[in-house]
Amino acid sequence: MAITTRQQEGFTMPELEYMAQCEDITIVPLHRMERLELMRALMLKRSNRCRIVAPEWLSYEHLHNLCKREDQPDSMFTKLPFHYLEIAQILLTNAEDDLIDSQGVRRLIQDLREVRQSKTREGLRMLNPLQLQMDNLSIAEINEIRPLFAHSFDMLRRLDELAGSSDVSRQQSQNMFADQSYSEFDDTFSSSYLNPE
Amino acid sequence: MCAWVNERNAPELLEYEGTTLENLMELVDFQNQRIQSQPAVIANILKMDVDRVKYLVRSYLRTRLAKIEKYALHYTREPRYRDRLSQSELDYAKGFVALEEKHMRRSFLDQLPPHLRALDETTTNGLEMVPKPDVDSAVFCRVRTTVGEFQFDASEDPILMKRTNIFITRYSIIRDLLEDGKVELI
Repeated sequence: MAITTRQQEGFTMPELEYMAQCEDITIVPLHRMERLELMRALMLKRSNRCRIVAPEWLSYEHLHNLCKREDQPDSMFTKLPFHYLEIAQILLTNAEDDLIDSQGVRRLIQDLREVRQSKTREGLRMLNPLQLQMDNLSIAEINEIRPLFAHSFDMLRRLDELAGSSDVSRQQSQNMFADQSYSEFDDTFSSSYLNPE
Repeated sequence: MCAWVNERNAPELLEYEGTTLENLMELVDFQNQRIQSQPAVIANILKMDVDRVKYLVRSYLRTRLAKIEKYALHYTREPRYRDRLSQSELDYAKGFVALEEKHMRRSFLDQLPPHLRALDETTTNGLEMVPKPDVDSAVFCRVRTTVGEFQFDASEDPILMKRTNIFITRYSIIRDLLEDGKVELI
């Protein structure tokens, strides 16, 4: 097999970190450079040639506010860097001494991740066979829900096709969704936090 | 990088990025030559670049190979897909099809009555034996340049597609946008 089954379903965490390392980061240089890609910063850091400046969003205060905002009922996903989980993970592992209150930051990242996870799970209820808008989700979060969401999406699509192909099966599938009918799905989905506009 | 991520997420085989790959490999050769004449620090940085590029190219090609193996017969038959394969990919696909057929014949097809031996029949109700990629399957995509109002389905209201918006939808719906570079798969 040319690539592993896991890779055919999505990306592995090391692969996501590989992508994330192309993001820029600020360092305090012992040489001339100041802003460069994360991968180079890490290299300099490992050889003790620089100190990494934590991005603004990776501070206790900022994350604390984000957590509060994220936790509000019916709120949409807050805006975070596309690779926020990987960058946090990389910095917490490789440059812990450059972060202020790294323990607190670690805990808040975990909290934030859990709140967002339960929100995405709620979002699954709004899935329909056409499209669902899910702005501000990060790539690691998408990668995590990919197998479940993609599979559910394809199943819904197939049910929909069956429903369209004959009236008998249409009635059956409507009965299947009798208590939470399709139309209700559609209504909640348009006014949902996943789709703020 | 974008081509790699798109290829990984698209259900069907995409256009082969031949020129980009050639440029990348040329760059790798060039940097490899430079590394020897540089001080250790710089050499390390260059080496990392080279390794990262090599990984990218390798994974990209392997992803394509996995797809080619899955739908070899379909890709070698349809002119639309044939044009997307590089010469060596086409050779590989043809060899794969031939091997598969030989294996099938040897292991059981030759013992069947002649009219049951075909590997590419279409039944009267339209079922085909040749497997094809499901272009309606779910993909996640992110908008790169604002598209504006976009009709996902003829019977639905158009939805505003702005830069950085993320959608899960059918691949076939956004295929044209992907080819124009207006969305990327994630």
